[in-house]
Amino acid sequence: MRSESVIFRAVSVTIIAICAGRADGQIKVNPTGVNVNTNGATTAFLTFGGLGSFRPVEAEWCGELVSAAPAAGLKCDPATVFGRLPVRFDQSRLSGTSGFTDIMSIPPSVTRRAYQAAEAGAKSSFFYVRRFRNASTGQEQYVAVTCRLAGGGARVPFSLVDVSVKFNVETPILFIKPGETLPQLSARISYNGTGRLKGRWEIVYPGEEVPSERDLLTEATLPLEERGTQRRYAELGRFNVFLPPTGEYVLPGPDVSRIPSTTEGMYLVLLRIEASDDKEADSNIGSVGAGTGVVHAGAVAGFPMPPLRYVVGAGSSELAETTASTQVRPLSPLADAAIASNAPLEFSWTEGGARVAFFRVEVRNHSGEDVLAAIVPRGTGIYRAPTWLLEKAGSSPRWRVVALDLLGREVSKSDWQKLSITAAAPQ
Amino acid sequence: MCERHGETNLVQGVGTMLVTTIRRRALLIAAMMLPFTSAAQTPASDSSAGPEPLVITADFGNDAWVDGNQPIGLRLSRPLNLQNERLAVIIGQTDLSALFTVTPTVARYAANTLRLPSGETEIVVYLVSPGQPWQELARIPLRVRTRAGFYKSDIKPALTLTTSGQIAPYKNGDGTRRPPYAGVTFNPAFTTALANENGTVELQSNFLAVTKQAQALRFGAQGSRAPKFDLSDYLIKGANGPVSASVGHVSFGNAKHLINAVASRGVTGAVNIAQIAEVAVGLLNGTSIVGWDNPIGVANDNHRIIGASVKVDAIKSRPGSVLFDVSYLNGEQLPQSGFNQGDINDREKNHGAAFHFAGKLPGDRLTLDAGYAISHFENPFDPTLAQGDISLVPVRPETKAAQFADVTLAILRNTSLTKEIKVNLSTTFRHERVDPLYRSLGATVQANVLQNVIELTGGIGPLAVQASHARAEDNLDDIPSVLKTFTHVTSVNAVLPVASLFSASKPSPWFPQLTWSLSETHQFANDVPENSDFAETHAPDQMSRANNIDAQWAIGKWKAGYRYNISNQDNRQLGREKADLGGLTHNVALGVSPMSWIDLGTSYAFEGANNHELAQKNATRRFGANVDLRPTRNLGMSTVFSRTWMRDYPLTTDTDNDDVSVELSNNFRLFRSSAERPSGRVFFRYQRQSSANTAFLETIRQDPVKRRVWTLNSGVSLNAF
Repeated sequence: MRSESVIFRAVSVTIIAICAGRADGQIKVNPTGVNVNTNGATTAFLTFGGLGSFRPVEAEWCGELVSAAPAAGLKCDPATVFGRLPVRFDQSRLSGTSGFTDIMSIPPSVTRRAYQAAEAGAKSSFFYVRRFRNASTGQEQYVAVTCRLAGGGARVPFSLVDVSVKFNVETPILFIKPGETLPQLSARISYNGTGRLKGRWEIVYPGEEVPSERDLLTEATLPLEERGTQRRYAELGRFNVFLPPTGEYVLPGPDVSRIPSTTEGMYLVLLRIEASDDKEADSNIGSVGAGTGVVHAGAVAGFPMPPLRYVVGAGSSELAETTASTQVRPLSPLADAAIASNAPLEFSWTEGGARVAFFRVEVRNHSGEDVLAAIVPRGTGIYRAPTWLLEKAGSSPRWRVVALDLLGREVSKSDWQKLSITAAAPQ
Repeated sequence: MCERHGETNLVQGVGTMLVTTIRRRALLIAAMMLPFTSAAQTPASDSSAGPEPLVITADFGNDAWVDGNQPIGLRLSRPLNLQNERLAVIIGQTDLSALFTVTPTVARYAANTLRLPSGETEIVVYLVSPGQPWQELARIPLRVRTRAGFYKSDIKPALTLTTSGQIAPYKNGDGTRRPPYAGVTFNPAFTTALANENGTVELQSNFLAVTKQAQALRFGAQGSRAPKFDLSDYLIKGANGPVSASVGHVSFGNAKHLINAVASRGVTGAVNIAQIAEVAVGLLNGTSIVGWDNPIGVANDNHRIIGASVKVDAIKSRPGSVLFDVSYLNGEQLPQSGFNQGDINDREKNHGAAFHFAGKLPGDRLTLDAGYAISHFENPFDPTLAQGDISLVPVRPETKAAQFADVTLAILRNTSLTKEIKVNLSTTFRHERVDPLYRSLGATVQANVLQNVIELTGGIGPLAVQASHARAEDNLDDIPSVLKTFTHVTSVNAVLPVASLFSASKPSPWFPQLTWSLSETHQFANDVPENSDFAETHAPDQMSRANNIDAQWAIGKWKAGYRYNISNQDNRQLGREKADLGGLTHNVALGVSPMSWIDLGTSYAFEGANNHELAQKNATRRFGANVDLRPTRNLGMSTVFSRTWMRDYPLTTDTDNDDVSVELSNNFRLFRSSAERPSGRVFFRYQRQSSANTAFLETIRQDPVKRRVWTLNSGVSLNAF
C-alpha cells in the first residue's frame, strides 16, 4: 500500500513537473504571419512571449515544417532550409514580461529561394522558426512565423532595408575648410510597406562621445522599454514625410546653414528615425503575455543607421564629383525646349539652398566642351545670355546651374538640361 | 584646358580672397546694382548728337602680367547711357559682368571676389543694348602670372591638429559617469594640381589620426582592431589629349539597369576616339571603403566590380541624333555594407551586358531613349547564412533581362499665348520591364515589375508644371501562389515664381516662389493567391494621398519659408477598412542678417498623426532658434536652442525635450605675420539636454521621469600649413 502510494506520488510529481515545464514553455509569437517582399529584403518586428526559463537560440527560414518531437512545436524540415539569421542582423533582445523582441531581417537570397520553390510548384509561403532552449532542463521549443510572398508595398510591414547617407559629393568622408558651407546631404532609403517616416537629424561635435551601434538603431527596432533611452545629440532639424508604397525615397538633409563648420575636428551627422504608426508593423505584446498593449514598429530596420562623417580642417574634397541636387532647379528654358538660333535666350532657376551666394550658369556643347559660364549673384535668378551663344554652342547644347557659397565652393548643382536649337526665326 | 583651369582657379580663389564681409557685401550689392547705380551717376546723354563711340582701355597695360588676386580696371571713354546700355565682360569663357562695379568711366573687377584665371587669356568687352546683338568693343589680352612650365601649379600640403574633450562634469544628471577626457585628432592632407598644354594631373588625399579608439574611421566595422591612423580617401586624376584616367574614389557606369554611377575606390580610364566614340573601363571595389588595407580598391577578387563601355555618337554633323553605347559588367560582392550605408545584404555575383540607344528626328520634335540589359546572377555559398553546420537549398543561377524605352514628343514649342507669354508642352511615354529575379551589382533596380508612365511637362510663362500617371504590376511570371499587386500613381508638380506674374522686369521680393505637389497612389491585388497562406485580408487595397505646398521668400536681409504637408492612408481591404491613418505637418522658418556679423533664425514645426481605427492622435511641436555672432574677425559665438513637445490623445504620455548649445571660439595666429597659417583656434562649448516624460494612467498624471545632462567641452586646433 505504502509502495503504491509512493509510486502514485512519484508519478504525480513527474506529471506535474512535465506539465509545469510545458506551461513554462508555452511560447507564443505576434504577429504570427507577415507579408514579405518577393523581390528583396524584408524586416519585421516580432515579439515572443511566455519564455519562462527558455532562452532563444538560433532562427532559420525554411520552406516546410515538420514535427519537432520530442521537442515542442514545429521545426524546419532540414531538406528545405533557406538560411539562418546572420549574426550581423540579429538585433534581438529579451524584453518585457518574460518576452523576447526579435527583429527578423530576411536577406534577398532567402526570398529568392522561396520564389524559386514557388516557381517549381511548391507552396509560396515559407517560415521563420526560432528555437528556444531551457538551459536547466535541456527542453527545446520551436516557434514559427509564416512569411507570405507578396509585393513590397501595402500590407508589408513598414521597414527600412537599405539606407545610404551622403553629401552631394562623391566621397566617403567630406573634408572642408573652417567656415565653409557644407554641400547638401540626403539619405537614400529603400523601404517596404508605407507610412510616415519621422525623426531628427542630429550632430555629434568634436570631443563628444560617439554613439554606440545600439544608439544608431531606429526607435522601432528597440523593445518598448528601451525606447527613449538612446543617447541624444544636438538636433539639427526634424523631418516627417509620408512614404507611399513604392519602395524608394530620397530624404533631404537638414538646412546646411545649421550644420556647424567653424571649429576644426570630426563631426558626425546622425539620422535618427522615430517609430511610427503602421498596422502591419504592429506587434501585440499583450496577446503573447509579454506585456500590455501594442508596440508600434513602423520604420523598423535590421541595422544601425549609418553616421555621416565630415572633417573640418586641413583636408579638401574639392576634386570629388558633385552630384545633382534638388535645391537648385532650372526653370527655363525647359528640358529639351526648342530655341530658334536667333532668339534671345534667358536662363532662370529656383534659388533654393541656404548660404548660397552665387550661381554659375554653365553651357556646354554636345561634345561636353565648355562654351560659356556666367557668375550671377544670389537674388537675381536670371541670366540673359549673349546673343551669339546659341550660334557658338551648336545644335544640341545643355546647361545647368551650380550654386556656390560665399567662399566659392560648390554647394549644389542641377542636372544638365538639353536644348534643341532650330533654324533662325524670320525677323 | 587652360581655360578650364582658369575656372577652377576662379572657384578656388574665392575661398582665400573673401575675407572681409563688409567689402564682400558691398561688392555684391554694387554688382547687382551695376546697371542701375551707374545710371544715377551718369549725365543724360545728348540724344540729338547720337551716342559717342565707346572705347575701352585696360588700366593694367596690355602686355603686363598681373597677379591672380590683383584688381583690374577697364576705362570707358564716356559714361554709359544706362537707359539703354550696359557693359558685358567675359574673361576667358566666364561672363563676370555681374561682379564688375561700374563708375561713370571705370568698370572695376576686384579679384578678391573670384581669382583671375592663371595663364594667358582674354578679356572681351561688349556693349549690350535691348533688342540688339552684343556689340564687341574690345579684346584685351590678360596675362596672369603662373609658375614656370605650368599654366597651373599648386602643391599644397596641409595639416590640422585638434585636441578636444570634455572638461566637465564628472557625473551627470542621468547618473552616468563620464569623467573628463581629452582626445587628439590629426588631419594631414595633400593636394596637387599641375597643368600644361599637354595635360593635367590632379591629386587629393586625406588622412585622419585619432587617439580615441571609438573615433577611428573603421571602428564600426573592426572595433578595437581599427587603426587609429587611417586613410580616408584619395583621388588622382590625369588627362592627356584624348586619354584620361583616375585612381582613388571614382565612379563609373551609365547603363540604367546594369552599371550606373557605381562609386567606390578603384581605377577608371577612358579614350576618346575622333570625337565620335569613347571607350571606358573601370575596376572598382564592391562597396565604398576607407582605410589602408586595400589601397587601390581592387585587391579582393570576391568583392570587385569590373565594368567597360563603348559609346558612339554616330553622325558627327548632327551630334546626339544617333547615339548608342554598349556596357559590360562582371562583379562579385561579399555581404558587406558600404562605408555610409546600412542594408540587408547577401553574397552575390553577376555578369551581364547592356545596350543603350538614344536618337532624335531632325527638328528634335521626337526623341527616343531606350535600353536593354541582360544579367546572369547567382548567390555563391555564404557562410554567414549557412553558419557552418547546415545545408541550404541552393539558389539556382538565373539569366534575366530588363528593358526600358522613353519616347518624348514636343507638342508646343515657344508658342506665343500673348506677346510676352510663351507656352511649351511635351509629352513622354515611359515603359520599363524588369524580369522577376533580375539583379545586377552595379545598379539599384526593382525587379519583377512592369511599368508604363505617361507624363506631361509644360510651362506657361513662368509657371512650370509636370503631371504624370503610372501603372505598374508585379509577379510578372503570374505564379499562382504569389500575390500579384497593381499600383496606380498620379502626381502633379508645379513651380511658380509668383513675382514674375506681376512684373517680369522688376520682380517684387514680397511675392514668394511657390511649389506645389500632389501624389495619389492606389495599390491593390485582384485575387488571393492559391496554394499559399494568404487570406483575403492579407491582400492589399490601399489608397494614399500626399499634398505639399512650399512657399519661400527672400526679402533683402530676410528669408522666410512655409511648408505644408498633409497625407492620408485609406485601407479598403477586408478586415482593414478602418485601419486608416492621417498625417499633417506645418513648418515655418524665418531668418535675418541685420548686420554682417549677426545671423538670427527661428523656426516652428507642428506634426500631427491620426490613427482613425484606434482613435489615437499624436502631436509633436518644435520651436527652434539660433543666434550666430561674429563680433570681430576672430571671435565667434553660436547659440542654438530647441524645444520639442510630444503628446498623444487620449493622453498616455507627454514628453518635453530641450536642447541648448553655446559655442564660443576664437582664432589666433601663431606668429606676427600676414600669412593665414600657421594659425589656430580655441573653443568652449556648453551643451545641455533635458527631457521630462510624464505618463498618464487613466488620465491620472504620474510623476514625470526627468533626465538632464550637460557637458562642457573645449579644445584647441592648430593649422600648420
